Amino acid sequence: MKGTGVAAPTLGTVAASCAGCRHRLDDQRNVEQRMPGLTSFGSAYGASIAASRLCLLHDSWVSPADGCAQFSAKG
Amino acid sequence: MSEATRVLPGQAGTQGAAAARPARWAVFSNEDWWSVWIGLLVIVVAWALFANGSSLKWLAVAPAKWKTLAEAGQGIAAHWPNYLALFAAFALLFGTGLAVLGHSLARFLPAFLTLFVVSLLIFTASAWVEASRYNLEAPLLALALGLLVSNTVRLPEWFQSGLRVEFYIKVGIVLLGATLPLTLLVWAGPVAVGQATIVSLATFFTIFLVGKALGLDRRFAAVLGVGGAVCGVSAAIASGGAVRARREDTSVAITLVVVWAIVMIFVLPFASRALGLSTAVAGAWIGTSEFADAAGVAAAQAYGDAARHAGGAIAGAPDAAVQAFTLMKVVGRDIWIGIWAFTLAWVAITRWNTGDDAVRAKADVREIWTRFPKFVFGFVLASALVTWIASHYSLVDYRKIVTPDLVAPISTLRTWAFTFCFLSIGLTTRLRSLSATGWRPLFAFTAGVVVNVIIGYVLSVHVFASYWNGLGG
Repeated sequence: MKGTGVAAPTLGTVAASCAGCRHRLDDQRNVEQRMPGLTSFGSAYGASIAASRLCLLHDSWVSPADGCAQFSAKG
Repeated sequence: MSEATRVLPGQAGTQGAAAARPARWAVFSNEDWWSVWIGLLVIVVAWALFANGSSLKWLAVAPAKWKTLAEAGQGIAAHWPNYLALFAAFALLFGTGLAVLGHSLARFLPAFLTLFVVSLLIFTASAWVEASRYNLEAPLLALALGLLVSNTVRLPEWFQSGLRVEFYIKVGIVLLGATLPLTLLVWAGPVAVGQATIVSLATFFTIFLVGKALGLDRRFAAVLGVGGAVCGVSAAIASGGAVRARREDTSVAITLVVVWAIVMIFVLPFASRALGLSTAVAGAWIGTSEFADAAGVAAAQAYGDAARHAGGAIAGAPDAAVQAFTLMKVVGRDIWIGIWAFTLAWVAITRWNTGDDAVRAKADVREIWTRFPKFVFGFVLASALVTWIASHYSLVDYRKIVTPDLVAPISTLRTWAFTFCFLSIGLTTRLRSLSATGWRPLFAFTAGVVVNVIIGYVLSVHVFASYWNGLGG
C-alpha cells in the first residue's frame, strides 16, 4: 500500500497539488516564526516535519501531494 | 474543469527537479542527517588521533574545579587557545550544516559566539567546588539563566539563529553513543521498547479519549495525544502534519508540551532524589515521562551531576542517568514517530474524513521512513564503532588508555553540545508568546501526564529496575 485516501486531482504528468501552490508556506524559517514554542524543543529543519508545511489559506498543515479547489500556482 | 485540475504550463520541469533533489541530497537534507555526519566525524577524528598515539584532549577542553574566582579566571586564561579552537571547530561543524540547510552564516556565527561564551561561563560556574551544594548543575543553571533572560529582555532577531535546540541535542546524542557499549544497547533496547510501548499507548489513549470526551476535535485530540506519548514538539509537528491539523491546534499542543517539559525538568530529578532512585532507574523514569529529548537530557544530566557530587548518597554511575534516559526515550519512544504519523494519517483520512474537508489528502506509507529520526543511526553507529575499538583492549587497558584518551574527550564535547542546547531551550522559551490553550486541552493533556508519570514510575522502579540498574546502577 503506497497511498490511501483521496489523492490530489491530476492531469497529464502535472499535479495541481499543494507542492506547486502559492498558499503553501515552503520556508522552514517562516514556519518556525509562525509556530510559537516550536524552536524551544523542536525544529522545522528536522526529519519529523518531513514535507509537511503550513497552508496560509486553510491555516493548516498540508503535504506536497494534497490538493484543494483553491489551488493557485506559484508565480 | 476545476481550479484544481488545471494544466500548469511550465511547471512539470520545476516539480521534476524538486522531486529529484530530495533523493540525491536526502542525507544532507535535514538536521537529523547533519547530526549523524557531525557526530561520526568527531568520533572518527578522535579515533584517528588516538590510533596515532595522540588524542582530541587538546581540543576537548573544559573548566577544571575551582575554589576562588581568581582560580576560575586563571583556568580560562591558561587555556584560551584551546577554547578558541573549540569554538572554531564547533562553528565550522554546525555552521556548515546550517548553511546547507539554508540558514544565514552571517547571523549564525555571531549568535553562536555569544552562546559559546555564555556556555563557557555556565560551565565554569558549575565547576565551582561548592556548586552542587547550591544545585548549580550546568543543565539547570543554563536553563534557568536562559529562561530569565528570554522572559525579561527582548533578544535581537539575529541571535535566534544560534539557538538550534534540536540540532545541538541530536549531535550530543550521537556523541553519547560513543560512551554506551553496543552490548548494553542490545541488552536493554528490547526492555526500553516494551516499557515505552506500554506507556506511550496508555498516554496517547488517555489524552485522546479525555480530549474527545471534552468535545475536542479528533484531529486535535490525536495531535495532543502523540505530543504527550512520543516525542513532544517533534511528535506534535509530525502528527499535526499527518492528520492535516489546524495550525492553531498544533500551537496549543506545542505550548502544553513546552510547559510540561519545563516543569518536568525540575520535578523529575527532585522526585527521583526524594524517592532514593538510582541514576539508571531515574534515567529510565525520566525517559518514560519527559516530553522532549532536550528536556529529558537536561533532567537526566542534572540528576547524574547531582549523583557525581552526592558522595554516594545517590546510587549508580552518574552517566547511567543519561544513558538510561537515551535508551528509553530515543530507542524506546522516538523511533516510532513515523508509524504513529502514518497510522494517524490513515485513520484521519479514511475514518475521520467528513467529506467536506477543504484539503484533499492521502496517507503515504513512505512517511514512516521520511519522519524517522535519523540521528538514531548515528547514535547506534557511534556505539558500534567505539565498542569495536574497545574490543581490541583488555578491561584494564580500556580504563587506563581508551577511556582517558578517546572516550573522555568525546564525552566532554558531548557535554558542550548539551550545554548549548540547555541554554538555547531557556533562551527560546518565551512564555508570553506561547498560545493560550483553553482549559479542555489543558485538562486532557494533564490527565495524560498523570497516567504517564505513574505508569512510568511503576515500570521503571518496580517492574524493570533490574534491567536499568544493569547499566551501572
